[in-house]
Amino acid sequence: MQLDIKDLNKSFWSHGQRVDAVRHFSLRVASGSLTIILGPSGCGKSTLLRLIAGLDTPDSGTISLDDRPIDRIPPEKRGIGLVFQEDSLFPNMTLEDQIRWALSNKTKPRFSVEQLLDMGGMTALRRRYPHQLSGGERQRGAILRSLAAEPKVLLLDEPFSRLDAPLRDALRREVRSLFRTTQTTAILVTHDQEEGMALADQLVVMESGRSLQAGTPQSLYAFPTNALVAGFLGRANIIVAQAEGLFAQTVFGPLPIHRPAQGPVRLMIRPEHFELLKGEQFLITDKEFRGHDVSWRLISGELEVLVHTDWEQDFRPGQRVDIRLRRPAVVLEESSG
Amino acid sequence: MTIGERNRFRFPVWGVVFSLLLALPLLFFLLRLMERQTADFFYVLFRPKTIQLVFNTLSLILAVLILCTVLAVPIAYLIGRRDFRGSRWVTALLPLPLSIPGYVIAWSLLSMSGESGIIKDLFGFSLPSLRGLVGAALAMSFYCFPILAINMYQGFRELDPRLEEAAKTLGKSRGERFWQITLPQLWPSMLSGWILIAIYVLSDFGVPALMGFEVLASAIYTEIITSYFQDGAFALTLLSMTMTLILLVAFHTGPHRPQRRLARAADLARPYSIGNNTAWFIVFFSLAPVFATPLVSLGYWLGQPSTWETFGTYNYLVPALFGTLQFALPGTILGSLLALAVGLISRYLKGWIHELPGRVLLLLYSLPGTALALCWAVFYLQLFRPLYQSATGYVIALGYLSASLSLGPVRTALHAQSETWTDSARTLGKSPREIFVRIVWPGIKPGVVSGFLLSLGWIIRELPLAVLLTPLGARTLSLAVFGYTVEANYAGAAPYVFMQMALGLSLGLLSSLRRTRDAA
Repeated sequence: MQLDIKDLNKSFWSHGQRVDAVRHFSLRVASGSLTIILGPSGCGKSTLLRLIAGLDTPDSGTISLDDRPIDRIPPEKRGIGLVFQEDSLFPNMTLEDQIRWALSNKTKPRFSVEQLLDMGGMTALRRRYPHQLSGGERQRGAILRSLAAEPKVLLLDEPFSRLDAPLRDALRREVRSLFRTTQTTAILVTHDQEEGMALADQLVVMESGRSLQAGTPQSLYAFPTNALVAGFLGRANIIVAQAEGLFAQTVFGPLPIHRPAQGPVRLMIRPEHFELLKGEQFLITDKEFRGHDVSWRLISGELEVLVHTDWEQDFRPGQRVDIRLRRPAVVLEESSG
Repeated sequence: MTIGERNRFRFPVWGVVFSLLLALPLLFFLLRLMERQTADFFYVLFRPKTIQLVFNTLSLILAVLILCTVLAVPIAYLIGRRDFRGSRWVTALLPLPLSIPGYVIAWSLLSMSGESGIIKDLFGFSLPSLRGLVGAALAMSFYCFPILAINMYQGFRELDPRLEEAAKTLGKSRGERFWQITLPQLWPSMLSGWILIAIYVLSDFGVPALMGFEVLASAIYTEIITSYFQDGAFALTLLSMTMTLILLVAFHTGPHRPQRRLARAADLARPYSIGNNTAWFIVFFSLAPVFATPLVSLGYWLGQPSTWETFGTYNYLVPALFGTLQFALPGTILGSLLALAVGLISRYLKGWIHELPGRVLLLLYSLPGTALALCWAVFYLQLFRPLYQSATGYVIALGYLSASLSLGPVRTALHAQSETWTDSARTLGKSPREIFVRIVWPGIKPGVVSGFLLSLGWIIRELPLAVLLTPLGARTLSLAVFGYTVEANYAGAAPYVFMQMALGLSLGLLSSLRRTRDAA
């Protein structure tokens, strides 16, 4: 099932103010893949999912499944599942009953209730009511229940965000393998970049209702097109420079860049893409030991640079150093402002 | 600003249909009122008799407010700010008078006072007859002072003691602290209690009718009885409705209790203890007359052999009981269904217009009973003549009234149902009907049942609609109590009062038992 979203828009009024929750949003989700939409809270992620599920109506734009538009189909006939942040299990049914009820629409279900419970490792908890389950168990139950209805696409709205860190990690891995077994096409939204990068086949960064960039987590991390994406996926140095072909002139000398360019550009360099050498250009102002690496702050005139190296580099604050790039700097696109 | 081509406007069908359906009697009243823009009508509206009625109504409101304040404030202060042995009992018993209809208290006051009253018989001295303003004000206050007391109790509980302590450290005297700190905090509770009581006084028909003190609500009845649905009845109905509307607007726009953040236990006013004797002295003098009045009369009359002699001859207790239930049960069932529909509309459909049906119900509930009865009568006479003074017509009118009473619990129950559940169920492929049956209904059932019990308890005491809309010759408990009392046959009314109180108390008990069970 391939999901296509084209130029989706949704605004609403809140306290007399117009909120453009989703703006010109387009996205393609390949069959059987997990797409993660990453964005800060309030960026329109949840509204987007409600639009796809049919719980809200878009102002304009189209949503289609395998090239068939589904915009006018009510949510209960759309075949798109939605897992909420928390507490979506029905309080008056046992776990087993919830799954059985979700399954009851199908004449020839793909999985039986027992299989689903087993896949989720919840067979022992089948007779429990939601209030007798822990937060993690409830979320797992909600995901199993959604899978039971055999959605063509499963949407998940920050499903792990209310859980504590170790549990979140474990559940995340479980869910990914569950989706692989069931070949589920899914979209998950989150504000947790670690979660986004770890799980996604396709990662989309969303901000103020717009999609900033989409691609594999690696490509987005290594080649962000603008500073917002770069900053959202990790620490980044943004440096103003003057490009000439495959090099750019900065205040501390020429740097190689990843694509040819001319004129004023902004460069993105991840802190771990620097190496430190004995030298004169930069002054070390701060050093933080962070376990797996060491974080350095360097200044040269107006410019401040963040560098991450392994623990073997032995410099001290107050010393002067030079820097070298381990890979070309990334030229950000002009439109990013 | 770009509005997408497909930002379709959906006509709020359900909100509009239900608002119209519920407002039907009111709309027909207004329609007929339009036709009456005649000189005669305006003459009736402004003649001295009308002005006298408005004056009487206002004096009754004033008298009841004064009496209620005297009865309610000391008790509210005691249970809100002070601690004494048995204070919980007082708190629990406080709302009880609200389950005894005002006209029963009127019956009881009338039978106690006067030259041939119970007091004379028991103690040898006689109270002056309580007919008129004093009796009406007493009967109403005994009935509705808990409204003010409960409001004030909450006000006292929510007083922030730190403010008073701060004032103390600033060297303010006791008097300054009361006028500048305590009273301003209590004022909203006081005012909202007063407005609710004023709305009630304006609406009550039974008490002024029995006490022979003519106010707008009872005069509407007299007008209808003497000159049918003519200018007089219309003018008085218009006047009383306007006054109710003004009060409702005042209630919704007036000063409200500040929305307090959830108080931590330590923030709440700490009750400090008071001598048990002082407390009980105050409690006794406030509550004893209220509770004793109906009980003493009832006990006295049920103990008189003459009561049972009369009763033996004209016994229609069982027919009256069945008559009451025959109207009240279907009326309350209809009311629960209406409340459920109105609740579902306002909970699950978006847009302010879906709030409208609920507002209409509350308006109907606040209107003077006789004014409402007139609206129904006008509506039936205009559109379905056979429904006027028919069992079905009365049941429908009761249904609307009962819907306003059930709406509160139904709404609370609906709001406890998370939207996540219904949204989840939809994305699981479930139809709205399936979702209602499997998810929503199991969750709200207790709320619907307690709304049903609550409104049934109220509906079996209903009087003004019964007086004007029941079929001729119909027998109900409230009509019997009213009829006998009008004839000053207090002994005759006693068995029916007993039956009514027994029914009301058992329903109250049942619903509070259910509440504690659901809470557990």
